[in-house]
Amino acid sequence: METGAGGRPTEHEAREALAQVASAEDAVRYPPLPRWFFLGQAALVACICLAQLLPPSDARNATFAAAVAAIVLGGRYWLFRDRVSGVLPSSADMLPFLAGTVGTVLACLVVAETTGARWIWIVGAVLVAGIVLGTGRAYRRTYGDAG
Amino acid sequence: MPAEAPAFDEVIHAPHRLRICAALSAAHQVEFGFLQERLGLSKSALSKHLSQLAAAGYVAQDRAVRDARSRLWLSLTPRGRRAYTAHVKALREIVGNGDG
Repeated sequence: METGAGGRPTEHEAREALAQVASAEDAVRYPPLPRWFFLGQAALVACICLAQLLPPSDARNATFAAAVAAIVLGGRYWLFRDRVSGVLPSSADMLPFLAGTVGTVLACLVVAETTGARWIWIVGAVLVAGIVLGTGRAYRRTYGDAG
Repeated sequence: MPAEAPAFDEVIHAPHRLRICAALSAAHQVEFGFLQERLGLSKSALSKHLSQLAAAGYVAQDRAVRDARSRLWLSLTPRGRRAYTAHVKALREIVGNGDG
């Protein structure tokens, strides 16, 4: 293997090494996931939005239950799956997804609180579910579909 | 925690060891067999590289019994994680500077 001065890699070698790094990290970080995983997550985040239409105490309980279910599902099939424990998500990869979902929920919260238009949560539910499903489609295309 | 300065590491840079460190950097613990499958290495080759990384203090190996099966779990030590991060930064610096 050719190397640069002093045993350091050349630019070409460094580029190849970085490609191998990304590939090896992705193999652990992003397992193939089934379609139902994203359908389930989409339903749960939509439930979190729709729960805000319920009376406050019911909304709190439903939000908590849906959030716990989403975390358990993500934990079991992604973060703490068989043979890999404690996946460390890449903040750069997660940022667009989190910005889309959290941004939508915050925008709905602001609109509902300032205008009283609680129906905005229905729009929010459709939007966040769409973001999860769109992300899921791109994910399965890139990292594989577990069936 | 201060950010790691770029530092080229000869122990990590060997192609298989770099891929092992990269895979381990993405999780707290990875099972030996999983790593072997993903990297397409033989058991003996992976063991040899792991021994070298462990000797440098970069990788920890923990054996745990689960479902009546003994599994070897691998992880980067804090020192290994720092060295790996610094090494990747050094590679990015080489690419970024167009050095070579």
